[in-house]
Amino acid sequence: MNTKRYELDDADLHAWVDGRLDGQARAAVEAALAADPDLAARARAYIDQNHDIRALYDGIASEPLPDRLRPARIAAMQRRRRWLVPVAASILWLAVGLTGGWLAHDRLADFGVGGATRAMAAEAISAYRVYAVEKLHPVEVGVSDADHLMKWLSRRVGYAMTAPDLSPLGFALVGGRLLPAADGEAAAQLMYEDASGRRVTLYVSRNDSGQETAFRYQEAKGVGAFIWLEPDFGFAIAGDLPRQPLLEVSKIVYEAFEPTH
Amino acid sequence: MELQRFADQLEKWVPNLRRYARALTRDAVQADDLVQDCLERALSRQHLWRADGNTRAWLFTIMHNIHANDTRRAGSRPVSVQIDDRDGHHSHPPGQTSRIAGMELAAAVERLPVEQRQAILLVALEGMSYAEVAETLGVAQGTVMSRLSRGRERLRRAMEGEGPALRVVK
Repeated sequence: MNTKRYELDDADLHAWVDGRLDGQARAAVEAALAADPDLAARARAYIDQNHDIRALYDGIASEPLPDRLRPARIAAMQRRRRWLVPVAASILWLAVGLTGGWLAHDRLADFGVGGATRAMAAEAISAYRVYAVEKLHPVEVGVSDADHLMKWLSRRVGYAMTAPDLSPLGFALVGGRLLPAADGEAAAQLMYEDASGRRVTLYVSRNDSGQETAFRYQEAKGVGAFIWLEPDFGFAIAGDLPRQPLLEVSKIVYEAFEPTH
Repeated sequence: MELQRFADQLEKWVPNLRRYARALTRDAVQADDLVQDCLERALSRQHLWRADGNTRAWLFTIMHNIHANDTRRAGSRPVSVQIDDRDGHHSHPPGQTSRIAGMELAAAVERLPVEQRQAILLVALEGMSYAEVAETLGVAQGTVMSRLSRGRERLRRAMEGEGPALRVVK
C-alpha cells in the first residue's frame, strides 16, 4: 500500500462518485477514501444523492407522452401555420401599425410561451368563473343584438371576430361582453350554452408575447381551458366540461378563425 | 425523408426532456410547457440541426435558454399564476418510496442555484459526461466540476441539516 498521503483532487472525487474513473486513478481515490472517514462519508452522500434523484424522477421518462409533446404532430401544426401566418400577419399589421407591433414582437420574440399561455388561461378561467354562474346578467349584450355585439367587440379588441357556430355540439350563443386584460387592453368573452345549461366561453385577447403555439390545456378549480396563440391574438375556450368535449369546441372555433375562412 | 428523420430524432429524447424539466421546475404543467416550447423551437430551427451532432445536448441547450428566459421574465413581470398544483411532482408510486424524504430532497434541489441544479441533474438523471454537460451549458468543463462540487456539498448539508438523514428508498 502506498503510505504517502494522496492529495485528492475534488474533480477526481466527483468522477469517482459518478463511476467515471478506471485503473490507477480509481485506486488512488479509493485509497484516499479508506484513509479518511469524513471524506468517505461525503462521497457516500454524493452517491446517495445521485441514486435518490434518479429514484424520484426516473418514472417520468416512462410515462406515456401526451399528444402535444409529439414532434411529428407539432411539425404538422407548424407546416400548416406557415401558410396562415403571412396572410394573418399582413392583415394584422395594417390594423396594428407596423412600428409598435414589430418592436414588441422583436423584443419579446425569444421568450417561451409557457408563461404567456398560463397567463391567458388564468384570465380566461377567471372570467369564466365570474360570469358563467350568472343567472341574470351572464352577458353584457345578448344574442338578439348579435350584429352589434360582434362589431363592438371586434373594434375594441382589434380582431375581426365572428361568433363561431357551435350548434353541431349543441351549444347556442348567449351573448358576450368586454373584459379588461393586461396593460389596459380589452379582451372579449363570448358565452355559449347547451340545453342542459352547461356553458362554455370563448375568450380572445391580444397576444404580445410574440409567440405562437398549438393547443394547450390548463385547468384550475374544476374549470378547464384550451389555449392557443396566434401571432397577435390569443384564444381560450373555457368550460366546466370534461376535456374531450371542450377539445371538440376548441377545434370548431379554431377552424372558424382561420384567416382563409 | 429528412423531416421525418428529424422528428424521430427529437421524439427519442422527449422522455428525457420531460424527466429533466420536471426535476428542474417541480411543476408538471410548467415542465411539459417547457418541453413543448423546446420542441417547437427545435422544429422551427431544423436548419441548425446536424444529423451527426449531439442532438441531446442541442435540445437541452434550447430548453435551458427557454427556461432562463421564462425565469427572467417571471422575475421582472410578477404575473405568474399557479394554474394547477394537483399534479404530483413525484413519479414514484407511494408504496415504494418514502414520500417525505423524496419531497425534502426535491425541495432541497429546488433551492440550489439554478446552474448548480442543472449540473447535478444532467449528471444524475441524464448520465451525461462532464464534457457533454459543458457543451450543453456552454461553459468550460472546469466550471461544470465546480458547480457540481458546490451543489452537491450544499445539498448534502441541506439534507443533513434537516434532522435525521432521510433517504429515498427504491
